Amino acid sequence: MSLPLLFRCGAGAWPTFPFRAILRFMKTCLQTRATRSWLMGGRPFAALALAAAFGLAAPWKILRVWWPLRQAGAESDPGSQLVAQVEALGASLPLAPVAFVSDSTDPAERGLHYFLIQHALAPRMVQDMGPNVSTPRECRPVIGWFRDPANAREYGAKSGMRIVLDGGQGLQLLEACP
Amino acid sequence: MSVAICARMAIALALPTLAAGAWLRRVGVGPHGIVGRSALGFVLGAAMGSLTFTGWRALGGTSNVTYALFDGLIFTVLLIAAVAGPNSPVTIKPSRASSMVERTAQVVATVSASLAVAGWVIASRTAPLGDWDAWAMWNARARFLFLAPTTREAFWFPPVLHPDYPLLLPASVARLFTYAGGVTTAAPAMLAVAFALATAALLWAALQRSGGVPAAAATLLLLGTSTWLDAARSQYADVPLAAFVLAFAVLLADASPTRDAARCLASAAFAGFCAGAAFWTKNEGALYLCAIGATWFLAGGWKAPRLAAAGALVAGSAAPLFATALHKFAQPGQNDILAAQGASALSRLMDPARIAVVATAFGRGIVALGDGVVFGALVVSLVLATSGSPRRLRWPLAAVGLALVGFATVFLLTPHPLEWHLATALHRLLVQCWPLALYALFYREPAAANAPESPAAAVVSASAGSLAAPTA
Repeated sequence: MSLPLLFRCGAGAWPTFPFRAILRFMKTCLQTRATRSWLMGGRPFAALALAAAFGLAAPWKILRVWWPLRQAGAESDPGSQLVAQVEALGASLPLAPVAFVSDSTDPAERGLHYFLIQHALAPRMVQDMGPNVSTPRECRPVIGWFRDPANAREYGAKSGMRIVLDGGQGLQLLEACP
Repeated sequence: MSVAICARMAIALALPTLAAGAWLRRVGVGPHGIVGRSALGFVLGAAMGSLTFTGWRALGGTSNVTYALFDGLIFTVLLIAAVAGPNSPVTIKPSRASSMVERTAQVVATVSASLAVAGWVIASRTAPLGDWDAWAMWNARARFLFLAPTTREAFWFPPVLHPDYPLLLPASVARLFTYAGGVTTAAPAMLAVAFALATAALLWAALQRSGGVPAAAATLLLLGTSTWLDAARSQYADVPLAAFVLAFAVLLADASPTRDAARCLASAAFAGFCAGAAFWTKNEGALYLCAIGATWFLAGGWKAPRLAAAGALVAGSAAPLFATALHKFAQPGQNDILAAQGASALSRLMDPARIAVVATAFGRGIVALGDGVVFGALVVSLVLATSGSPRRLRWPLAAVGLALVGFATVFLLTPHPLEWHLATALHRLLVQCWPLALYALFYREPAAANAPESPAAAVVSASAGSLAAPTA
């Protein structure tokens, strides 16, 4: 009985389906030396096929994820652009500790910017001055990350320190430490 | 980035690899064949390069062209010394024609490795700084080591950069910066890809004695672990640590008393160097050193050859352990986890709720590793296993288990929020021991190698340039 016919017949046809005959046939096949030998011989192929499924899928996945990002251009990694810009600014700073100020209230964003600036300004120590940017503690080169350019200018006017601003215009050095 | 900079960094990687590979060949240690020797040579050479650079900077040298010349001279001399001297007697294995399935396996593994390298290169060019820990810590510290004008500044790291973490990776990156003549994002990316590829190649070469199909299957499963591929791309220290852990186990498995005594001692000494280098890479290396060392030693019992090999292992680990100890003592800050231990540590350790959270996270983490590749590995190793004859190595699997127990204990003791710590660290710890677990799962001692090598074995003296033909 063919499979479509079986489905058309519905539940009433099940008892007539030759399960036992098929099982007997399979058992007979498995008991023959040729079949056993073929199965044992095919074992390495089966193992290899399973390993290959993993071994080809995962590298393909990494390509599939990163290739479109690569095609999208450098915008997929703004961190490296920031590092390059801060590196260029840092070239004019002495090898002394640097303070980091920011008007960002998101700790994750603050942390990200702080660590990127620490990376770019190595081997200087970059000290996070905390969320309160209105009271600079001491005169030293200051790198700031301000979302609001007005905040940056106000802070610069109060402190007279070096400010790096990101107000959608990229990074720029506003004032020098007196 | 210019071709000249790439070429200079390639020389920086190739010189120690060639020198270490030549010494491995000379003393007859490690996997046979150019792939195995190159992979193991790279792993050993990277550790030697990082120690050389650290020593140079610690003694007041600066990262300039003088260092590159000094470094190049050292490894060239080592290479010449290895090539010029007499080679050790090499046991020639009877060559065996590879079957169609083995050839297919090799082709598929090569395709997989090529795809992985292409993926890593594209990912590195798209995100050249790597992931969070890479740029925020490992590569930032490499910049300190390379850019600082004085020794004191080179080895001083801000407290946020985990100053107590060992220096193998930052020093290796800084060494590449020195060869390149400046800071470049290609240096850590190149190192990350090289370590990942060396791990896969070492796994493949080390399992060749179990057969071409198990070797290729294990390599495919490693390259098929998306978590591991991602860790390699991230430029984290976990893949280099995994490479040292695997090399440690592979060399220890080679340090069998059934082999001749000199080679057994040499294998143990090289294994010790890899163990020390693992600790010089990450603090977790100390746990692997204890777990693998202890299980290997206990598996062999208190016999004289094993004690001698253990002595060689300790001697081999001396240089990287000494560097790690010096670095740890020089840093003012303590490790964040150790510093927070006090009276409450025992209560955290015995807290049933924490134990349940950690056990569940480990279970889920193992199941989820690389989209279920652990199950795939178990099935493939079971399908390939033949009942009876070939002997398995149980101690590496026991070492993986012991290491996981150690990590679980650290999670129980952590002062950080437990869920956060598990979510950010567990998958990386599993990545570290995954190549070792695959090695343990797929390693089968060939039936002929179970017995001690007989005098009739084809032991011939290989000439400096080429292997002699088998005499049997």
